[in-house]
Amino acid sequence: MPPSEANWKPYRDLLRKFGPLEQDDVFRVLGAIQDAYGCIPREILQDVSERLHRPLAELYGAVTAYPGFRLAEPEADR
Amino acid sequence: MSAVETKIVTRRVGVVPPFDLEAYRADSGCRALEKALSMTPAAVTEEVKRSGLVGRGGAGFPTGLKWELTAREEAESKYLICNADEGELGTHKDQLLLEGDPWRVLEGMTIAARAVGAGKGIIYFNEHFRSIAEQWEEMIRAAEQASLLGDDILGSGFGFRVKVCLGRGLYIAGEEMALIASIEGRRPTSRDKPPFPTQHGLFGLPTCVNNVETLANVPDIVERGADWFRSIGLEDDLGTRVITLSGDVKEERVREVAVGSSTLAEAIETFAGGTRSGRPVKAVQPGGGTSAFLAADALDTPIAQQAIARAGSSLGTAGIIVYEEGHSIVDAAVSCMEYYGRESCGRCAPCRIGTVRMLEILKQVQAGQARPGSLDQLRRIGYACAVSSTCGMGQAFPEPVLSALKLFPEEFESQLVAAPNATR
Repeated sequence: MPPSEANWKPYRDLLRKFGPLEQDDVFRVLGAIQDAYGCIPREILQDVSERLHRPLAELYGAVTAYPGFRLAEPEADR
Repeated sequence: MSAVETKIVTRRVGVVPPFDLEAYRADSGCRALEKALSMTPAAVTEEVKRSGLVGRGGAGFPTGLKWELTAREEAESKYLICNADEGELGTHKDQLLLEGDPWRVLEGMTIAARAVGAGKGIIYFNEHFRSIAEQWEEMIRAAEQASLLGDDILGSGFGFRVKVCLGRGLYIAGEEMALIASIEGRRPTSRDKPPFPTQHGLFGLPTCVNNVETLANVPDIVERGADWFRSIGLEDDLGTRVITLSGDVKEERVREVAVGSSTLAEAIETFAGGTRSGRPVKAVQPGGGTSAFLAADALDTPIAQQAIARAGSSLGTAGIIVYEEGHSIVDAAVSCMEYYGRESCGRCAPCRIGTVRMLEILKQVQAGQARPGSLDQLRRIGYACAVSSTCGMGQAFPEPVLSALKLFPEEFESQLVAAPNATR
């Protein structure tokens, strides 16, 4: 299910705060998304991948490696 | 004799309000940066090289040489990374500097960047330092407004910008190569070297990675000169070390001492008030959780890399973990293995498998279920990991176990299941 417009808002807000994204912002952006959403929603991860021209698989690998990143909120895991 | 503090990098901690630029400037802050900007980058590097400063992150690589290697590379841009991912067990020195005298660390970063020709900087914080990282974000904005960061620092034409990265809870991300992978948005794993980060680092660009305490030493070296720095510490191990005392001590403490000025026993007694129970010290790990144990007979060893190495361990991050009489060394070895086993990145087999197998055997020993051959197996696996792992973590994690087996074999042997032929 694609996220609603409201769900994209925190992401758009944080992108605005970052300004033009550079390659070395990738980990910082992932962190900011995690902090804003409590997880890194797949659709948003895909958008980061497109913006920074990075393979989704690689970013997925990073996100799933750290205990401090989640793909879904803990409640939604169950 | 009691241990004496020598305050250089911790001089302002608790005295000058941190994150306060005016207070920092009033206490002679930024003078080193002004001086460095008036010198050629090569002259700055030469001064640091001549000072004999070596990295304070554990590996002890000569800082000036690392700068020279980075400066030598030709590239359109370069990175200076401050490794603030302090994760070693029993080590809290970087945290003290990051929140106690942050402007000093930033000034050290800027001078280092100038020396190596880096226009971009990143400081990578341990996940537990979130509130410090947020204060750093603000400090960096203040630095940009004061022209201490930006495209034209203090009108010198030199440009340098710093970004803040907050780690997400992996110990291995503090390892140089894994740290770079982490910032790149990849799984944090180490890799074989060469090429070294100075040649092929972040996003393939020449990258200089320095520890917090290392960079904190830079302003004073530049301002007061290499000869001044060489007058502190020992001839072959210069300056001060910020030590952390923890474990079975009365009070956990972080203190700065001149290298070689006091022994382990003096530091434990003077700064930490001795052991928690008042019983004698049984063993110490002098360089954080991956360093080998030293028994009580080595407590007279001065706090200096060479002396500690001769005694059979390593000064590493100078995190001195104390174990008092009555503390089971098997339990201590198990705690170390549990921590590092959980943190293996899994990229290379010795570390990935070795940590698990060693912990299994240690737990059997702890439960009184291990057979006599187990200890030899433990030694063999530990040795194999130490010689064949890719990165420093894999090479170091067996040390506590191997040294415990060597120093306190009876504690392990007394917990073994009797061999069948021994019961006859």
